[in-house]
Amino acid sequence: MNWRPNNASGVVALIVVAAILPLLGSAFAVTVMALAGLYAIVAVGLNLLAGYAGKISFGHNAFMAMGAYASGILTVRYGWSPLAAMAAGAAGTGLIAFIIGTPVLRVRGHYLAMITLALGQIVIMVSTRWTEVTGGLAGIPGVPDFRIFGLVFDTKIKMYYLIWCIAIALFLLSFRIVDSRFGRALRALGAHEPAAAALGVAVVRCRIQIFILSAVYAALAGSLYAHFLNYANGTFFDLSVMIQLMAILVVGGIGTLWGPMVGAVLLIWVSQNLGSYAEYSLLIFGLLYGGALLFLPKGVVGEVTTRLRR
Amino acid sequence: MMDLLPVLLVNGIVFGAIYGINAIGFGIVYNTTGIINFAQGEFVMLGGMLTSALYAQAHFSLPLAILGGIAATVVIGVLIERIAIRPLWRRGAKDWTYVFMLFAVATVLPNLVMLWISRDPQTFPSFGGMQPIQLGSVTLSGQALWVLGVTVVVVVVLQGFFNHTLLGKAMKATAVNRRVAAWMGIPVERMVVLSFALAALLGAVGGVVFTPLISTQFDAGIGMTLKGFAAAIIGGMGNIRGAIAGGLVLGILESLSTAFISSVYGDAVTYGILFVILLIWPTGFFRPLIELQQEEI
Amino acid sequence: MAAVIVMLEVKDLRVSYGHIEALKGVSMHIGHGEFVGVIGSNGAGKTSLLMALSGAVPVRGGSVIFDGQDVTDLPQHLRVDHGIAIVPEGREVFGPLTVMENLELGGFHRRRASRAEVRRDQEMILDLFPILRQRVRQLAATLSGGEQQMLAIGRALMSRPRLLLLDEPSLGLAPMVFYEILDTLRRLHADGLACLLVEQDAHITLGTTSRSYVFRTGLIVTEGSSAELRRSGLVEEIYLGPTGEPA
Repeated sequence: MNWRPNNASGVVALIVVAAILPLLGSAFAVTVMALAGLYAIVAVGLNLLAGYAGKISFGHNAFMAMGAYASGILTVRYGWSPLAAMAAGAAGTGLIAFIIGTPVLRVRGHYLAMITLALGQIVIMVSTRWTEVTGGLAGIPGVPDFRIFGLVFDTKIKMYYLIWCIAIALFLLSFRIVDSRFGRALRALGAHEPAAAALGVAVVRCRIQIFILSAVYAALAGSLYAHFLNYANGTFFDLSVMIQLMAILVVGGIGTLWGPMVGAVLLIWVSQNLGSYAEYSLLIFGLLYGGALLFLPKGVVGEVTTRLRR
Repeated sequence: MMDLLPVLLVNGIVFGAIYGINAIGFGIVYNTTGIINFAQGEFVMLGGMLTSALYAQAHFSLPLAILGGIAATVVIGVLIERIAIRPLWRRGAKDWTYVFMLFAVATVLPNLVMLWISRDPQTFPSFGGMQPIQLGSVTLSGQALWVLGVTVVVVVVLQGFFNHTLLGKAMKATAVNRRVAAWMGIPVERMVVLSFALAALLGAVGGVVFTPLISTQFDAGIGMTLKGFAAAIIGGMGNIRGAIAGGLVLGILESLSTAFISSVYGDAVTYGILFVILLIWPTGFFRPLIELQQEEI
Repeated sequence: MAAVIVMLEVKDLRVSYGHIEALKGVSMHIGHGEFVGVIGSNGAGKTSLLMALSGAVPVRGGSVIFDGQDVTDLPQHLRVDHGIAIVPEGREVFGPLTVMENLELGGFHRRRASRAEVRRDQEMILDLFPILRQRVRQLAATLSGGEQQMLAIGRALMSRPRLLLLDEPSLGLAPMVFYEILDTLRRLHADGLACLLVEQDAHITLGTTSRSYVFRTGLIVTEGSSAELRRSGLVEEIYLGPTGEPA
């Protein structure tokens, strides 16, 4: 592994803060931060896709829904263990991502964005109407607490720790990916696609793999969400979730390592603390992320990094 | 069920005409600027919503409301270009930045409309002035005739514009080769604004002529964006007749599949069609103005 | 030197692409109605010079003065108003448009002028290149290389330029075809059009122009009368490089 000192210390700081937060903050804070952790997981995956492979998905809310439903249906109706259900959800979602991604990522341009937008719409529609399977707008209640090897995560605080353990693990995994040969290939891709292709980088295969990985991250987050709320409802993962994810990516900083993490924590705090402005939350998020594109193109992390380098 | 076929076909054609007009808008922006306009469907929504607001809330007469709604949408289209696109263009931003930005626009606009105009579906009366026509077992309502008539007019006017006016040819030239067009003295930035204005105009016209048939709502934009895109892909981005043909094909497929496959999942089936099309024919049936490149795995 | 009234004055021009310096401080001039050449091998900066003069790339340093006016940072689409037209490398005609439409677009910046005048110019260009008249309604993409070159030149001429920039017009053309085109250029020059001919083919350039500049790696290494440059055997040096100097 190629650790740069400041990244390692950042991760340590993150672990420390995540560990002690429940001791200092209120129950509300813990819930908010748990949510932030879930969004961070999805955002890290999306960031790999957008920031390094240069492709955009507007349908990751659909992958979250798939994970949530897999966990909900398999544990509630078929008695599967939460771990097995989550794995099945991740695998199934990955497969769907493979099926969609392979033809679409072969073509230049931003067809993936349109296709995933359509996917998101399809999943919302199916979630709402296929009531026998998904429970429709009501969803699937009674999702059991997550448990591994006898450890039962029956309180919000325990779920908070589980979520952040997984988030940090996946975050570190993304470091590994970015630093690997695969990651370098991706960055060459982002920098100059024709050159990367000429150098024999398996351009399309890289993209498909990253897309699948990002979909799996999203499915994992969806599964965790279902266990966190003890309730699986895919209709929750609609376009507004996608907008929040976009805002997190852009405000955090696309293509930066820490962007998704920072963005998730910042923006989920904002969204939960809007109070009387809650009605305007989508508008605010849309403006935030359009504004960031115009005025803060490198995102918070990007700008700070640039400034520190001077 | 088969005796329903004529009705389904006619329905499909009427809906398809609107998808086609929207697809032309997509194509114009894409060809001139290389940008996929994720906010295209919002222009359709705005045309309908603004017109209905002017008619129902500001009590304009219908013709004036229609003109006002279309004009306001065009103004919004130009503003979007000024505020959201031009700064990115000047910065030399990469493709995906525009996609992100237009998605942001496509989320802010419906929200503003929902907050300032209404959450509920809106409509306004049919235009009148056209008598319904009986074609065998099918009745074409007056408004449906308006849709078809407007579509024909749009196609004729646009073809005249692009093939017979210097400005239209300059836009085509910009689409073919921006740098050389600039060397000829063609102000490329102005072509970009013009393309957005045209896209907004087309979307608004489609929305206005469609709303009396099916009403509109603040969140109708995304669906129209996806369907317009699908139609544009089927027809080949930027080819006017191809776009209309693509729209018609999509409309008919949608109509048939809603009847024969499932009516509950209507739109989902349409999107499934889009996916299949992209799988097999990413570049569309008709020759697009600018070739998209295919890469091997 | 007595004060010469120069049409184009380039002082210490610098152009970079990212960290790569393509032009490292180039100074040259073109007088009214002169036929000037620029030769040098690949990567010498010849095309960068034309890109800077036509406004297609930003200038990092130095200045370009055309007819007494500073056009260094003038936007690309306004250069043709001043009388600078370019025939790009590789012709770059508007393929999906017809020959006639290409010519029309060449005259775009004169769109407010009388249509009759513009039409007269079109006729003149079709007289100049009779083959184009035969293909007037054909799509430009269907023309041969030589015909496209003629179209590209005709298109540039439609703007009534005072200075015509030509970027490697001989590339991809059979020599006979190119000599015909060269003849036409000579005639235009005789009528008073100033030309800047950028070519890899030194023989042709030195044979056609009155004065030439020799570029190497972003700088001018020699300049002078084309006839003398030809006699001095410099041509071999350009391609082989004098011994001991980095290429």
